Amino acid sequence: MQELDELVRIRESIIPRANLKRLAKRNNHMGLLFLAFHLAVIAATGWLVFASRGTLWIVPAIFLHGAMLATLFAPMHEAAHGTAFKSVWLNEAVLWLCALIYIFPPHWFRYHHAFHHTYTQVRRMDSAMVLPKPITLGQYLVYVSGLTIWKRNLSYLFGHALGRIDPAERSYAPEDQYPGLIRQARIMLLIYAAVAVVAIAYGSWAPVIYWLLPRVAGESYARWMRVAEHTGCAEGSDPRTNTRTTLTNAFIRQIWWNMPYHAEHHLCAFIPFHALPRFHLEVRDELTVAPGGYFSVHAELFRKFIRWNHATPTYQ
Amino acid sequence: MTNGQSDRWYRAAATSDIEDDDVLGVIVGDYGQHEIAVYKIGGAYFATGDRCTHQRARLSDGLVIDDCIECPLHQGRFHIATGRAKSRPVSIPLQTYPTRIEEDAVFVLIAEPDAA
Repeated sequence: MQELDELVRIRESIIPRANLKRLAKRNNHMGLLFLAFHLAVIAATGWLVFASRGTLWIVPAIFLHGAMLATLFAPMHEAAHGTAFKSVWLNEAVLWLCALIYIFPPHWFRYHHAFHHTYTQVRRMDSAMVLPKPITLGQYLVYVSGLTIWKRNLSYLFGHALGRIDPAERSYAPEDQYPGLIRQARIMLLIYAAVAVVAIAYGSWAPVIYWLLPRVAGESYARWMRVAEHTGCAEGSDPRTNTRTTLTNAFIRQIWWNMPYHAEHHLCAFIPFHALPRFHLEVRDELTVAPGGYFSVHAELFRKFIRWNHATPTYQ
Repeated sequence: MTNGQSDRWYRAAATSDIEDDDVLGVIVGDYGQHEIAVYKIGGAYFATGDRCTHQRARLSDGLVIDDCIECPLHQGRFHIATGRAKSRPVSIPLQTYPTRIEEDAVFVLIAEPDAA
């Protein structure tokens, strides 16, 4: 596999295996600490929603709470890689928990995301290529709105539950896993149905106010963050140029489980999240690093690539 | 071995080439036809195929975690001694090979098709 061989060759030229082995060591406690912090933040923003009932403050509170729910993508992503914890069952449990809240079929995500790592920024192969050039303002706004993700996720969720595997999925999900994907979608829908039944039985709007509404409102934040990972970077399998690390503040690094060190993650996906800052210090000179934060990355994308329509010239 | 195959021992590596709790990728066979990962776990030696059954990444570039090898590309784990797939995205087991130590070298037993 050409892309894979290229990735390994580049990685070996940047950092010796002995250093990787040292950085790749797993444990459970760092994941549990990050998870505890994460859940505490979500509980705090949930309390803000509760405290702002009956006032207009509930609108920003729901957006804030939704943004924090959207950051559950980070532990879901890390657990899908098997690097959140040393223990396999802890990774699986956290993957399931986050996927249920995030409304993302967990094993479907795992296969979809694995393909993204194999074919990062390879056009027509990368399963998660975000806004390939040329980019129009309309495409940018639709992506960042997060609306398209619901169409995709819900169609996979209900499609799987009905026993249907989309032709696009057949390229990245092994055939022997189809029954598992179908079973998983049915379990998820059963859990959601149980939540709905209990809420209706008690006449409670809590799942809507504290979960569904914020979840929809907050997805834009996750999409906006994800634009910074690859959009505008070079196409092709070279991790030095096809992925961007964005330097940012300590809270964002923490709540996103160090995912802003994205070029490091793509260079070596088996380095766990807690070692990425140390890994960054060893390889940063070889990678694409945006020093000015997320707003700066988006501003640069607008300056260089995003145009009103496809007829407007872009400058690369 | 029957069914048109016979077993053959190949010298895979010097024992000193492999650190404890680590893996070494080797190529053996008269035509370099076998890519093998050789492991040293707690002083014992094991051997499996070197290519992940998911997307063919080289497992010897991966990480030994306790008694498992983790694929460096998508982090699927295999139990080294049995080849059993332990965590997704891998689901197909790895081929495993018997090993023996002789004169400070690790040998692996591989079934070869009989010459026609």
